[in-house]
Amino acid sequence: MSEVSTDADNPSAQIKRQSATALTLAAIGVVYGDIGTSPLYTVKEVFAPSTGLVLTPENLIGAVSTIFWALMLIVTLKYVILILRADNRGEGGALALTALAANAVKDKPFLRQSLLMMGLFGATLFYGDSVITPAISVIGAVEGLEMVTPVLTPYVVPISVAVLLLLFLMQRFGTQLVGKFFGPIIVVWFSVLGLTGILEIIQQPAILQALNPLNAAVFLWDRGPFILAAVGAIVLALTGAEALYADMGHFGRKPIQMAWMTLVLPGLALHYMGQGALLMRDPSAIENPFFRMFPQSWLIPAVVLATVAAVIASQAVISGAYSMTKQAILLGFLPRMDIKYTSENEVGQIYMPAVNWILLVGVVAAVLAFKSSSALAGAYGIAVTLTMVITTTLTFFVVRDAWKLPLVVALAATVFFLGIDVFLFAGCIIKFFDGGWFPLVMGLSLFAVMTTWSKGRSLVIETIRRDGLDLQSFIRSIEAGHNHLIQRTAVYAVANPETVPQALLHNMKHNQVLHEKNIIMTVKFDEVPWVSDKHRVKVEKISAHFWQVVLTYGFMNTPDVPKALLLCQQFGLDIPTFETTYFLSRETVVPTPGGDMAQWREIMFAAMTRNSGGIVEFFHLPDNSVVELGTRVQI
Amino acid sequence: MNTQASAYITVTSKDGLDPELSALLSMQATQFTSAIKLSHDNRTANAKAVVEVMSLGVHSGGIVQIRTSGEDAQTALNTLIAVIQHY
Repeated sequence: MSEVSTDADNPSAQIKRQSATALTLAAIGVVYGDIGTSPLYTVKEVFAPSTGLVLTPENLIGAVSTIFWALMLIVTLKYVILILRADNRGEGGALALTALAANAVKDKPFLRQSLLMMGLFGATLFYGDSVITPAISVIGAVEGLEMVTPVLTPYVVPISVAVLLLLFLMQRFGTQLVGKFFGPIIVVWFSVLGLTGILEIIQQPAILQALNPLNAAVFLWDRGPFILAAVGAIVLALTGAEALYADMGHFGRKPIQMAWMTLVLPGLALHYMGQGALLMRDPSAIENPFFRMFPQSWLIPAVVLATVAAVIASQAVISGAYSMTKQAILLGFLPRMDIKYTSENEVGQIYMPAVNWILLVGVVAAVLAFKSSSALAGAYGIAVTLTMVITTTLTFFVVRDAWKLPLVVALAATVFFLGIDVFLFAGCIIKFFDGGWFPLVMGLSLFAVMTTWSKGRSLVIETIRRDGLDLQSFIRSIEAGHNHLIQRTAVYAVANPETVPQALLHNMKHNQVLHEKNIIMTVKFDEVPWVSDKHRVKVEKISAHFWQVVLTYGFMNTPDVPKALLLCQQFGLDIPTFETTYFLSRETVVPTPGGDMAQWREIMFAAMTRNSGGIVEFFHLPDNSVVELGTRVQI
Repeated sequence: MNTQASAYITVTSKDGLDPELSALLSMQATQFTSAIKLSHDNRTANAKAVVEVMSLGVHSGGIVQIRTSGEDAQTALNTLIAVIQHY
């Protein structure tokens, strides 16, 4: 029997074996690439004609002060200090938080279901970000070429598309080789941000008044509702803040906090102040304040560095989209898809061709449709701020129901942060017709897909349960009769362990035999990130020749069925790898009028079932030992 | 009292005596003490052995003879007819 290591695919366990410095360096590359590339376009957009803000020293100090205090309150206080504590067994992110909140209110079914739907919608919004982040950061970086010479302006869009095409085409090779350079490059990036900021602040120290929060308050208060347009642009400085929570499982809380406090926050704060100082000194720099901070001779290296940083930021959201999709599949919200493992050492490094190509089409379409970072800025922010609203709401239930904090404390903190989130969202929603609809439509479409898949699967399982034969009675009847037994093991993968697998009936009909050992196997995914090997298998002997085995995984685990079945030996059930045949049922869903779902949803579900990825690869089954049998299920 | 009973019945279900109906018949048959035989096209199967029932290969519209012999022969016959008719 092979040796099975415990928690081999759990990065939280791997984290403990790596040094704090190495993890901090790695975290800087992956976690902070997105928020780190915001200076490419944020200040420019705050003073864009659409916001109506005039470039006066007071407005500059007020706007930079608002950016600085937004970074302090939203990113530092809310995410780095507070939300990072709401981990689900070491994991963060929309789905992990949703699971945590849902578990906290498990005795209130309606509330639990509402929180699950809310969290799921938050997760779908991430895909909108996954399209806009690569588009806006790469195009924002390449726009630096316009500062080198205006002759290059017509080439900005084609070069951006070429960079993005290359990025997506390279995904299949994984990031194992280049990934180790991400951290050091982003360290250089933040150092450059800080340095360029300092050089400008020295020339215009008045910008340091932005450190006074009163300037932010006055800036926001004085203009009444007209300030919302500028707020919608200031939000751009915060895009990517969710990543530091989403990636917590990969790096751990401490390295993420350490990187933010020692490098990222100082780099960003100095740089935004530097852009403010530059604009106080030379308002004409508003054409592209980021690149105007560099001397002409340094522009080309600056464009190259910015493009590389944008690529790293994009890589982080693309990898995040793969990871989120895999989690959604395991939680039963999406059909199985092809997952390629791109690293022999780290099971978390995956590539999903379908997600990759869909994102590529979305990103290139966004670049070609919007054509500039300014136009894309209109689409950016709504998804980010809506996700923040959802995160704050879900955290309330974790703080109140799981941590049992006094209601007054939980409510006060939630109202405070929710107030800020809603204010930021209000700033973004006014950009709805300027492209803001794009991530919302994408999120809502995916939400419809995910809820349809989830509902469809439960209808299929219910139909099988209703129409299927009772397994226990069937086993009693065949054990009483005379059957020709063959000395091999059959594993029947079933969705419902209480009824007779169709594959078992068909095997008996066509081959006219019964295996000596028959395993009725169910694979279950719990709403927790990780389930260890210790809790992986549950074995129950139901007759002389039949066993029921339940394999349980978390939504971050990688299901490897043959490996898990080896664990049955400790329960007295030996399943020899090379003498075992896996019998699978592939359901063909037949939509019927008047079913439990709207007809269009039934048709969509049937199409998704037809096109869902192979069960063999998904569960790591040996493809020369699998028999797949088709069955029709009417819903 | 040992009795015998017999009947012919047409299998009307769309897929004939499919694996599921075969299993259902077999599950019902094992509840009786009587011996139960099913015959179709010169082939005979012990109704309590599901693999044998499945191997009869009865299509939709095919006629099956049910023969029961034992203390509860008549009840067994009626039950199996009902299973085929209501499937």
